[in-house]
Amino acid sequence: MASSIWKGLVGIGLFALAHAAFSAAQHRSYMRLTEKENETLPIDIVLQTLLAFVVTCYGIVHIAGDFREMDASSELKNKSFDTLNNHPSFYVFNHRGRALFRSPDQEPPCRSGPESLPANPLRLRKLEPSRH
Amino acid sequence: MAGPELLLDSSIRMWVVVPIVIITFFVGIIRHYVTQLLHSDKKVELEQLSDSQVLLRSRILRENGKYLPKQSFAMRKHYFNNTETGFFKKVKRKVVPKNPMTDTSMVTDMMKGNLTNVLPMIVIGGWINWAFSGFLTTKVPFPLTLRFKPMLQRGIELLSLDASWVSSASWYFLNVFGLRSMYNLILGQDNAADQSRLMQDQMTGAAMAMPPDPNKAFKSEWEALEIVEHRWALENVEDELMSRDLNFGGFFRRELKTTMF
Amino acid sequence: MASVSEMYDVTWEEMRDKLRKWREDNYRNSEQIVEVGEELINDHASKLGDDIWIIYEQVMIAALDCSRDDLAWSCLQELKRQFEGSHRVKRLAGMRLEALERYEDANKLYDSILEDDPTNTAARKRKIAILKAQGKSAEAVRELNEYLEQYVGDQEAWHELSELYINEHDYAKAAFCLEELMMTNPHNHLYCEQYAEVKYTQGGMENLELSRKYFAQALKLNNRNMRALFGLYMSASHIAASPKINRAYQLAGRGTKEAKCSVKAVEEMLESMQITMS
Repeated sequence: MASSIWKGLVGIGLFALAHAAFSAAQHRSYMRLTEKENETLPIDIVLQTLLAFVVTCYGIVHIAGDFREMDASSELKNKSFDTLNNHPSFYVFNHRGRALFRSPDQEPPCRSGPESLPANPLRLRKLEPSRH
Repeated sequence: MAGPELLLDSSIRMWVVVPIVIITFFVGIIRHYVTQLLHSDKKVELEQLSDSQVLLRSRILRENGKYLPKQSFAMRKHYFNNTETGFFKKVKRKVVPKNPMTDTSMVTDMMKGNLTNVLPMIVIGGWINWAFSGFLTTKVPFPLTLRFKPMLQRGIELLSLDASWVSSASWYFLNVFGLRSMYNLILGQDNAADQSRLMQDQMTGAAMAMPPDPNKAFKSEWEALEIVEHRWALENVEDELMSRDLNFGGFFRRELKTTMF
Repeated sequence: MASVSEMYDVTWEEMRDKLRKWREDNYRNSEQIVEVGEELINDHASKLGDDIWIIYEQVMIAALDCSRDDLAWSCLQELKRQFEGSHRVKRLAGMRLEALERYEDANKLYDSILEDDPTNTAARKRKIAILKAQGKSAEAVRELNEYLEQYVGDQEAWHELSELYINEHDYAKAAFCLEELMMTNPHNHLYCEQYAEVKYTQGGMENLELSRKYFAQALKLNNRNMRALFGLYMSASHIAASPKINRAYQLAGRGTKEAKCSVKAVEEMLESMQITMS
């Protein structure tokens, strides 16, 4: 569960950021009360802001997912003809699947019309011994 | 810095600023669903579809023709651009200008568009103007020039007022345009709640309403294709290939996957 | 039978993501899709939300592949209940008829879709698939050509047509289709490789040179394409062995050394590969 660590990191970072903002607001109002107008923020608040920002960025980079390569063709490198050659719109269904996936006790289908491939019965016979 | 020159009553926030945001937001969402209800699929005509695909193909030929062998490129160019039998020369599409008054589907489309877009805009805008007029609602945190006064202070004619104050009517308009990314977040990318897109459509409306003339498009495509010359990208591909080492990065380390997961 | 989630120790989210990956990459591992999808539909239907409909479609097509008509029928019923009168569902019903070899009925169904919406490409493609299933290859080619006349941008159809032509040994026309694909996706090494293979099969000096170029291009786009590497080797050695080339080089007074240069490089590559492989 590495992702929960990073999520925790982002949570801590965001909390620290909010805390820094709150501290800054507090500091401003305190300065106004004590009428010291031209004083900058104390260094610890500035540091906390920057650190929390870096931590949050680091965590988010890990949560958001893997990086992709910049090269346009790199996505295609893992493709093979196994998937590219499949055309879902042109699937035909009179293939060996009909014989392969038939349950053993079932009678051979009698619906094979004149169009079905002549090799069909041969294939059925070949599979017969393996099932008994 | 001295204190602010104006102090707004905090009940303005409760009874003007927040209600306007909520009203515009929910009206946008309701409009999205109403448009979905009234939505009708536009029938695309076969000829138009194939014309656009031909144009696309020709454009791709212009851009990527360099990856084809010279002869294949010349063959395709010939098919499109031949002076006598070329596709762009020969094919002339009849352009029938649609009359919006006789075509009923167009009338209903326009009705629906008005119903979902213009009507709520007028009604809600008018209502907000009537109910929440005359308030200063908020102040933009940066100074602005006087030019912004009519935009940001609609309904308030105070010459001496600083231009960065925003009146309620303008706050409404800021919301109408500003909530777009909120809708994108909530309703998804292609939503109908977005009114500013309608505005953009109206800007280019004159060009959009005319049926795009395929003959003109063919003519310009013909001209563009005519000046393209074939420069083969693969002329030196073997040298390029051999100038670098082959990188088999991780090819042999890849385990054979036997299970589904 | 043990359920998929127990066998592989996966959650339903992982199963859903796997199905999506298969769907997006056009896998046709129907047996696995049926196994995973059936369990998802039976046990986790309520959690899937709107994803369920596309999973129904995917599982149904896979079920047709596995001749699991019961599953296909139940998926189809669910889809019919949700999307009444949708063309996509009608097309699925037609595909079921095809799987049952009731081609006439399927054709009628597709015709009714086309009557309703003449621009429905899916139905037209199914009609071509029926011709293919009936073994009427020539008619399928003719229909597909007519289809491509109107939808020149349909890459899937171009690829299918090239396949049909390859089956008919009409390599010149297959090459044309593959050129079309290459033009649209110049960065896809697989199209390049297939084009080169077709050119190589066609034979003749010019075609061999072209095939060498495109094998090299495929290899450049993806160094790990073994088939392209082997093809490059084969085409290059064929060219080098041809007497015509040898004589031309001798006439030019350069000997055969340079002609064999490219072959040698590839041979070296292959050799180095064998060392790493063993």
